[in-house]
Amino acid sequence: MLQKEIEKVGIPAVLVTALPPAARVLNASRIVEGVRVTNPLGDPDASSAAVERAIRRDIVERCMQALTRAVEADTRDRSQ
Amino acid sequence: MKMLRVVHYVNQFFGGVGGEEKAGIGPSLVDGPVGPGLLIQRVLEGQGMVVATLICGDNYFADHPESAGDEVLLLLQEREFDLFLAGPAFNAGRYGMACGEVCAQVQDRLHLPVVTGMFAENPGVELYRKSVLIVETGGSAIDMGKSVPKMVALGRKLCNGHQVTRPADEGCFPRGVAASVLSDKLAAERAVSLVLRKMRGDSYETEIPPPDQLDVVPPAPPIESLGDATIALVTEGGLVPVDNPDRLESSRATRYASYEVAALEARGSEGFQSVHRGFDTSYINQDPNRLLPVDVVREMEGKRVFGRLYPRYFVTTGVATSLTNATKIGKGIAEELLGGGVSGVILTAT
Repeated sequence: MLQKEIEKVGIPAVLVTALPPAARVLNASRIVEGVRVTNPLGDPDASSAAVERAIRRDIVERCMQALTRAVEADTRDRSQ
Repeated sequence: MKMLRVVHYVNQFFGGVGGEEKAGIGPSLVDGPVGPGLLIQRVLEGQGMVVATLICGDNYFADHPESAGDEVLLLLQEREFDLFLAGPAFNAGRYGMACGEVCAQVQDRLHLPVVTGMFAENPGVELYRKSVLIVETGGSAIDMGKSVPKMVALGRKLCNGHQVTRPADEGCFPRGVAASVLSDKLAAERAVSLVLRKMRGDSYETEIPPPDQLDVVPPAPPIESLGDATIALVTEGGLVPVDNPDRLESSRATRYASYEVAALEARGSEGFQSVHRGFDTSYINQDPNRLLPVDVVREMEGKRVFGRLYPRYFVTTGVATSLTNATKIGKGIAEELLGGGVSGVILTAT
């Protein structure tokens, strides 16, 4: 809902979520998959802080790509 | 059993007063049943009667929304009755709205059971189904013979003290109210059973339908020049300064807050914690970058991947947030982002 309100005013917003299917049911547009609900942009099980940062960097780079890419509204009925 | 006294509301047409040319007439109360009221009386089979009929022009209600309700109540106060039935209005929009409004007023001000009937596409359904029980009818008066008995049956049950838990069981439109019902199976058993049915391709019925007013928002155009762009961070992960100065709720949020990114960078997990009660927040509390990727985003800002990081981040708590509040919160944040010249947002969900 937050994403849609922001997009409504013309600002692209990318949603980082560990539950992309849930986001799609609500008709979210730009979605990037996060690691886990408890740590969307990190991984406490990563072997080192550097590895964790690399994971985070990768997700944020995908976010930048999503923000700079034109997206079509997904009008498929996902309620079932 | 006591005789059930019904007052019935009809418009100028069903009241036999006239057609469109009489749509402007004000409310009047006549003794006994009129038009469809005769069918109501027949269906009551001697156990009740239509003591009076309220007739009002469809336009009158539309044109005098404030005073029409008052006038109707004034007339009704002259009578003692147990049940109020309106219509059925089928697909007639103004009639449906009038039925809905009159029923709502009688229910609220006279505290009596009310029932009306409409076709699914009648605008009165969306406006009134949450406050008034509306029996679903066919699209025209051809359905009169089926609709009226349903309305009467429900009316009688209500007069006997019946509590409606599932409007669909009574042939009514859903009210959008969740009523607790005791089941003999644990939720986990029901959920697994539902998944298995879905996977097998069997028919299934969801216990919680998704809201039916989910709009599809056309996505915003992409950022044209990332190098000049202002990026803002937003989250519903509830990350706030440890003293929660703005008292952000831990669930059922009604508002949002914003804090300086610089403060988050400076104080980190010692200064900021998540108040979100919907998941284990310990990993985020250990390292808030796992929620708001400030370290990486700053690094990218330094390398001029994009223009600048908006100095504040926006936060709310996304657990058990009502759709209405989520929308309100979203609009508030969107407005501030717009005012701040933000070009793009990274929104972290939890």
